[in-house]
Amino acid sequence: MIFDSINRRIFLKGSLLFGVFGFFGGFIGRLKKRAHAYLRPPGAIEEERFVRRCIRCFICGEICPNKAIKFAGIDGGIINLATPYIQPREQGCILCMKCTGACPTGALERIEDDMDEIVDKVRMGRAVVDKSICFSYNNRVCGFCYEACPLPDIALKLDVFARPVVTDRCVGCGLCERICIQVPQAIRVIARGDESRRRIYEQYKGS
Amino acid sequence: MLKTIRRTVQILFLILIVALPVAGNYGALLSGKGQRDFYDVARDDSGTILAGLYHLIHRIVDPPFNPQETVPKIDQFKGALYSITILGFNITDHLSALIATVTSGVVYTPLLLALIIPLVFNILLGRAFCGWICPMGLILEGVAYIRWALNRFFNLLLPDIRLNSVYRYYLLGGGFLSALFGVPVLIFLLPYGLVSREIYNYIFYMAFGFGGVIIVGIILFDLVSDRGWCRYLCPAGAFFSLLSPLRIVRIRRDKKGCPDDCTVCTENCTMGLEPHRDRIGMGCDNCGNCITSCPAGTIKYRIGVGRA
Repeated sequence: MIFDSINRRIFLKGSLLFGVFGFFGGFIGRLKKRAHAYLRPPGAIEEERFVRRCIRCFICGEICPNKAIKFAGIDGGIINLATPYIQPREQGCILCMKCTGACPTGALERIEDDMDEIVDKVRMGRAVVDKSICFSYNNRVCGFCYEACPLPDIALKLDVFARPVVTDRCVGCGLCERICIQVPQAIRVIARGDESRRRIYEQYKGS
Repeated sequence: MLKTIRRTVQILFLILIVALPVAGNYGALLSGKGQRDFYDVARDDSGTILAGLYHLIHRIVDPPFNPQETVPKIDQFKGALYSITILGFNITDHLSALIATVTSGVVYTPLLLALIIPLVFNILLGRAFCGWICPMGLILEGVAYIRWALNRFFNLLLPDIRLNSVYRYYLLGGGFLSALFGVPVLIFLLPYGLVSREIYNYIFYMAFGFGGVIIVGIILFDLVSDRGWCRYLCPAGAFFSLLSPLRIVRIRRDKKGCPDDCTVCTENCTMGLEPHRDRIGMGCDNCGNCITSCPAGTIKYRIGVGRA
């Protein structure tokens, strides 16, 4: 048998390998270098459980018809490495819900491709309007975000001056951020995990 | 003959894990073209070489199918060796399923259904995945050949670092220890996952991810240690070995015709085992190199329950 060859030296070295690797993964692996939370694909379970459940099989990115799902690099720490996220300024989620049905481990919960269910269940994040640079808030007419929104008048409303107002039912798909003609974008999606950042953003940019 | 079959199977699986992302990429391109009014307007579909290739093909042969019918067909084939979806049925590698279960502490029922085929394959055929399917195995066999050629023709005298093959079990255990802390570090060391992810990255983004660094590290290690990764360190191989004692396909040596002083099979063993002394154990990947190399023809596969 293969275990016959173990002597004390090999056992100690192996235990060292075991401990170093285990604790490296356990503690150093949890360090997160990124300041902002990732915007996860629709149907993602709560962030802490999501990164544990995901097996990094890349099926969600492969099935995405819009190529919106990208995969994190080492900049997010080992725990976030190769997990799916959406960078809405590059490509937004079109809410087709294909990825939710394709996930083999249930890191993305299955959601039917039905608008009512999407509005109820999908919570990727929430869009925030930067009123200081948004054209509609600065005496011009724009309305691109409203046109791009897959849930117009549900997630994004226009007030009497045709200015965009994000409601609580915004799912965070990011199509408005993708389409925004202002540089930098005047409307941006802040991921579900970043509530404090969203509040700060609304407080300083929102008025 | 056996070697040719094995190489063909390996290359077929490599083609499969290249073909699936190519098909997925093509499907994404097709669905973007078909529903331009709903899907994002300004699509950048000229970013990759593959996109240019599709455009070229479309220009030469006008595709007779429409996206609404083709894309759902493509969607039934997804994934890589990690977790593959064929005709809508998902097959997930049992090791990564176990890691996800240990890390999250939740047993996900569809996953149990998905891991049946790999688990049964592993229990019946032992570590045959390593020798017959794993794309990293194919790459590292190439590296071993390069290593041999460098030594033989350029007199480089690359060292052969020999570790004890028990270390991979410690590495596997360490991976599960960190999984208990909630970090699936082991996921990034599964070679088939590494290779298929990097193939995906290259096809979709024309770039390599962090996994590429690990792959290069493994290849460099294998240059100074003959098949060192598979023999001494690979945690996936360790896990498959642990499940292999009940395997029904084994290498068996017929002692009658076997000469005493011949060690050809041991020299040719990819996993560094010693078939000429019947010391095979759990590490055997059923690759059959000993069978093809045996001058006396005394080594054969034996199919049946139990040892010896």
